[in-house]
Amino acid sequence: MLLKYSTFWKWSWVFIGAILISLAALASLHPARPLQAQPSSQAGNCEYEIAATADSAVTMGDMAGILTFVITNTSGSNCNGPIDYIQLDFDASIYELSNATSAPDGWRIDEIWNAGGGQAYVLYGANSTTEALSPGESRKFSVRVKGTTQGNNNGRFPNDTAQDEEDTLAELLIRYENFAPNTNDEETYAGNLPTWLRHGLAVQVIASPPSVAVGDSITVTMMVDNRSDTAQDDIYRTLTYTPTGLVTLTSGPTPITIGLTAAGIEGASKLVTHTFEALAEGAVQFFGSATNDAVSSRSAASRQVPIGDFTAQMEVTPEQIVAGQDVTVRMRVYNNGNSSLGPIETSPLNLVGETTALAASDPEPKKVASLPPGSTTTFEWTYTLTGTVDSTYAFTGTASIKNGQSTDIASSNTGRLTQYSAYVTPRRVGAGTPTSPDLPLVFNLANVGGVDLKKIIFTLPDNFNASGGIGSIEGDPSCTWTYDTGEFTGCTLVSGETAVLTLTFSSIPEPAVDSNYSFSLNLCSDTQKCLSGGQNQRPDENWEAAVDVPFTITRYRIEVAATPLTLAADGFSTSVITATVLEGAIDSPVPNAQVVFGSTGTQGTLSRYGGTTNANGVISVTFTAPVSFIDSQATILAEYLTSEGQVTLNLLGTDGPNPLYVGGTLDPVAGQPGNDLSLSLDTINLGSKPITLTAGTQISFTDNSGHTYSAALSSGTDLPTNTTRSLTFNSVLLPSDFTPGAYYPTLIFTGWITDPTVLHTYERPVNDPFSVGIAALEATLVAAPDYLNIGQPITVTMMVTNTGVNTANNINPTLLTIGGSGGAALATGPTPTSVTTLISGTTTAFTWHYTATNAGPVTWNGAAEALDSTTGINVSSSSATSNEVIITKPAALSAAFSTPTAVNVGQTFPITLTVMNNGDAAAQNLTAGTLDMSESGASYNSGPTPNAAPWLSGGNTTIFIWTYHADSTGTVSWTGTVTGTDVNDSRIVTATATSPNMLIEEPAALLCTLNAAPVSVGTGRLVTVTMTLTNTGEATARDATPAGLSLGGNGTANLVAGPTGAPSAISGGGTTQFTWIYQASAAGTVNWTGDATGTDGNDGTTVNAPSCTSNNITVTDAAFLISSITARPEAVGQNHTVTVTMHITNTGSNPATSITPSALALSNSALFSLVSGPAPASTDLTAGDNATFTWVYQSANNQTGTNTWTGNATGSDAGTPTNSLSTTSNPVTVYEVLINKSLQAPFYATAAPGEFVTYTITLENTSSGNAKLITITDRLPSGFAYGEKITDSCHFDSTPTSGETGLLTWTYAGNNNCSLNSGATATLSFTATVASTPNRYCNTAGYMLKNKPLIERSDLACVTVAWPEYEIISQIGSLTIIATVRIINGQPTILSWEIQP
Amino acid sequence: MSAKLYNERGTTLVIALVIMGVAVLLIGAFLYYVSTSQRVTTAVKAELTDHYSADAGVEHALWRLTNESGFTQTVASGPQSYTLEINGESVAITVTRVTPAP
Repeated sequence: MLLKYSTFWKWSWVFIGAILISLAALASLHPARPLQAQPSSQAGNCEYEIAATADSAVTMGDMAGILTFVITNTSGSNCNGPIDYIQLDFDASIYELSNATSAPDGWRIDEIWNAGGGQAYVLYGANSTTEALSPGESRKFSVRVKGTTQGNNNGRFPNDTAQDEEDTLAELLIRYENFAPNTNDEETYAGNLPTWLRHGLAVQVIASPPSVAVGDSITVTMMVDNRSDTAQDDIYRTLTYTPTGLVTLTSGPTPITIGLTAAGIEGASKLVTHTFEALAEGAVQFFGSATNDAVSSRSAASRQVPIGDFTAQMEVTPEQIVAGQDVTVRMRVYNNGNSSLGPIETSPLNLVGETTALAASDPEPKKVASLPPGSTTTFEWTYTLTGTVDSTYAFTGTASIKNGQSTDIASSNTGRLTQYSAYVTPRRVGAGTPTSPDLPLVFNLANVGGVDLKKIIFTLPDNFNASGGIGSIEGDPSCTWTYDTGEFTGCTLVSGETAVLTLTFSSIPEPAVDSNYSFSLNLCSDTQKCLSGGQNQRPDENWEAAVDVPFTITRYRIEVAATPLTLAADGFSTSVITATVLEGAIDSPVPNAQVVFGSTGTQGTLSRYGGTTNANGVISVTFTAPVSFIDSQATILAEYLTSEGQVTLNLLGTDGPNPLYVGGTLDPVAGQPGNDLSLSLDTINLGSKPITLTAGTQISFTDNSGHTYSAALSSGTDLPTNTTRSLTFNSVLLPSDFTPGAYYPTLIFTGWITDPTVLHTYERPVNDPFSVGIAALEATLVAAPDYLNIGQPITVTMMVTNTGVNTANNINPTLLTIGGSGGAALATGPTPTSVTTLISGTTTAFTWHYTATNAGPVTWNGAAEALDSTTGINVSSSSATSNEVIITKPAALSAAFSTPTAVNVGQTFPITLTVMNNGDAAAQNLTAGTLDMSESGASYNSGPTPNAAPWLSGGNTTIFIWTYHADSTGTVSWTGTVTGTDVNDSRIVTATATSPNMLIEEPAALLCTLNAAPVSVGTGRLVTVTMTLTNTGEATARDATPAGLSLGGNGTANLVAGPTGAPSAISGGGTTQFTWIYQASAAGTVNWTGDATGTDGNDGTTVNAPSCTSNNITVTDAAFLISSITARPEAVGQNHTVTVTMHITNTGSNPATSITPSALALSNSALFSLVSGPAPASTDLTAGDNATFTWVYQSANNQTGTNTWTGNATGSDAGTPTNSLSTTSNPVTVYEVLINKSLQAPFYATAAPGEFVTYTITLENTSSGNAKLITITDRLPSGFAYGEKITDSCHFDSTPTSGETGLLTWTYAGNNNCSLNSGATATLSFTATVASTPNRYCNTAGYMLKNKPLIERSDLACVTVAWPEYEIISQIGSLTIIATVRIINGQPTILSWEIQP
Repeated sequence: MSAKLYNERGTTLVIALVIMGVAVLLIGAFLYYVSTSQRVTTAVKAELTDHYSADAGVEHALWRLTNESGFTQTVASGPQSYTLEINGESVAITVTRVTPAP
């Protein structure tokens, strides 16, 4: 059993080894092998997906296309490692795989198999585990597919169907990295394979012209080809554009639907046209597709069409190069405006992309002097690009002209760096292009693949019959490629070099529709082993790479010719370019074909860049040579739809100065015969040498009758190279019989180069026309009416007169603009909108109707435009401004009565009606009419005055006055209406008002009574006399005032005070009183007599009260005591004494005896105690005598506060007691710390404005304890400014803080307190600048003890601020002059002047 | 005729003496007037000169008050007196700061 087992395993191992050896041998033949399908269940939990991108599609009949698939590893992390091999199998009856297919980054192509037998696949392998497709990752695989060569397809995608075909992958196989190699453990994708369309229609979108101005038309043509084998009807197109807003469709599509015959049959290709109008500046691009129910096309894009007066396009070619190759960047500049532009130059270009660009040349040309309207010119750069494979490149830039105007930024197409590149020139030819002699196609091939190429194998499309070929290595003349049976050999294309291979063809296809072809080039590193043909396998051991070169044969053919073919590159020499468009297959001319011109090579200017062929299919343009110092060539391209043709001109380099006219600078551009004319223009020297122009330089033009206008340069000027100068020519009469028309002047530049004695002349054209005898417009604007109200219509009329020579066509007014602060809205107009013709000397009118909307002045501004009938140039009038129209708010009246509040019966009084115009428009012919009266208490007297107001401006008032007579008491009001007419719109305007009620009263009447009290008094006592004044009428008595009282009787009394009571108004029935105080002075009987006057409040008459007399009073002799009390000082400390005095006067006529003061009552008895007094204890006073009683009080030692003393005196009048009234002293304040403040002023207590004073605050601790002083404060009077602290006994801060207004606070510097023992004092002195206003200013000082509130004392240290006054005594002998002066701000003012004797 | 003439000769003498007496009186009066006028003129001239000098003294004091630095401070401390030689005479000047009228 063991033996058998061993034998079995021995032979088994032999068998397995043989199999492995066989597999190894097979592996040695192929670096990799196609994956073999295995059941997908082996994948376990591994999953992945595949999808075709949206742009994956091909078109029937095309030879090549790109299909892109995205493969995503959707497995979990525990799958069998990342995917490192992917194989895409295609249906070989439809597709072949191009050798030019490339792998994504990090992957390689292990095999491309087109072996027939139903197999066509591409096998990708990951370069490393890192690049393999891990779970969650995706890769995009782009496959370049070609049409099958099987059957009759001839390398094209089959079209043997009547509808779009949905193609799909035949199979997808993958392998996981963790599977052992060569174990047949690949798996087949079990899901739905991606599909894509094989379209039955092909579409191309062509926009023409290449650039337009705003308002111009763009023709967008869609060329629709049927690629299916069945006729297709009802094909409609879809056309979109971006961005929106730049263009609008004005016509098309034409036709709306089309029917096409089957592919290859005449009628299989048709055009659909659209016309768009350019609305705004920018660049627009169109996208189109076509379809019916059965077939459809892929979307195609037009070129970008820049819109504007001055535009630019950019293009970079080729789009695929290898690093180190050159690209050509062209900027085409278009003048879509109406006047010449120049000089034109370009900005430095910006490179967009990852490549590095080295400018191999400056722009050629550097400048273009002039670009006439409708023409185009091209600037060209050459750049050498370097970078890594797949890095991209594109360019942007602008063109600009002298005035700073520049184009929008133009952007080129984007190119890409590759390992190998190849492109063919021309890239397209028209059907029927002659092949006798043989047609050469030049293939430019570049190699940076790192491997030297020794053989280039060409696979030609069907019906391309090559007759021979030759090639060279660029920069290596020693080597020549030779061509034989599809292969170029004989040279080695080292990596980093380029080769030019020229194949000549004895015949090529002549398709009836545009047909795309592809030349397949296999690039081989070995001349022996490299295979050829579509069945090549890849990799071959010496087979490195492949490229496909597209080539197109278009339905139309353009033949381009130039006369002459050789011209000077001087900037103004011209050649006529003629393009003929032919239906290629039948050589039939194509009329009405829109041809676009452009140029390459050394650039020049084309007179126009687009146009339509004539009936013979011919169109011509004029090429103006550029300026070049060396010989060069220019290639003129003509394009129609997808076809293009070209002709190459030989340009002879020029030397020396080259002064040229700068386009658009001729000024003026028109003039009238018989007028003096001075022309100016700019010139630029684009030559190689400077020149100094002399006054011999001339400008001239001549009409057909031989009349010449010629003017010489006003003064010579230098003209360095590449420099622009403005030239002004002398003013010369333009002959009056000069034939009207447009003339292109000629410049004869005369100047010297190095030797002023050797003059050179250069004749140059001015390619802007000068128009003689053009139409000229004058416009005036009239607006009516001059004044109107909001809402009213306004008519604006523009009168346009042709003051020129020629008839003006298409006369249009410009849009009117409204100026001023008012407003008006256009209702209709202009009428007419346009006038067709306006012959010389005639006038036409345009009318607008507006409606006034806002108040204020309004004017209109506008001009007229037209075309000169002869020259076609635009003429316009100067801007005209209308008269000013004043728009107003309509007149609006308001009225109000003004009447007396009250009148007296019998009084004649006015009634005033005030009328206001609240609008802007004036109201005229205002009348007020008769007033309605509410009651009958008054009667009409006269009025109104005036009878009428002829005019009342807006915002103004006028008055009407009536007079009435008051008949009886009562209340009356009036109602009235004022009527007028609005001067602007004649509208009747009214206002009605009712007056306030007016009282009619009886007049005021005054009656007085006098009363004296008391009726019996002793001498010295006071008597009060009261006058009561009564108004017995109804009207108010105003300013009622008593007359002075007269004293009657045999006694006497003296007036002490009165009368009190201001003059007052006494209403009807009311009373008022006036009071006098008299002091009885002599015994007897006394009475008073008086009267009063006032003013009637209604009529202003004086009202007198009849005289009245008081009652009698009896005055007897008596003593009369008057006392007053004074306490000093007013502020004391504790334990201080205060002296209180009572001053007594006997004002009576009898002596007073035994006068004693009463005991004084203290308001704060705890504050003071009596020390002594009164002294004397008693006294006697004769009549008129006085005496003083004195008390001494002492303040308590622990109390603070304020106290007053109250008391009187009592005596005897011959036995009859008499006493004074009780009085109270001034208050006396007791401080714990007594505060005082002293003043040191320049002159006693006086200071001049602005002078310094010194204040000293003294604090004395009068308490028995210690006082802890925290702060000292001072409130300077208003206008005083603190100066500085001078002395300080307790070390307070040097600078006080400024608290509330004017409050200075010094805080103890030790941040503690200033301790004052009992009896101790503290002082603080500081200066201050007094106020500038003379006055008396007092001060308030204060302090704060620890834990106690602020104590302040006011009215201290008062200072009088006054301008200083001086007395000057000047004495000589006995003569003395005494002068008093006041010095105010340094200026003396004499107050008095006295001369003695 | 001659006697008469002889007799008339004494009358003439009286008349001549009277005339001469009157003339002496007139001349004397005239001379007195001239002398007095000269004295008056001299006195008036001296008075005017004094007046002008005193006026100039006041002006000088004003100038000092408005232009001389420190003078106002000096005057504020007390009346300042000084003399000036003006027109050949000595003018006494006293400047006193006074309290402005309320």
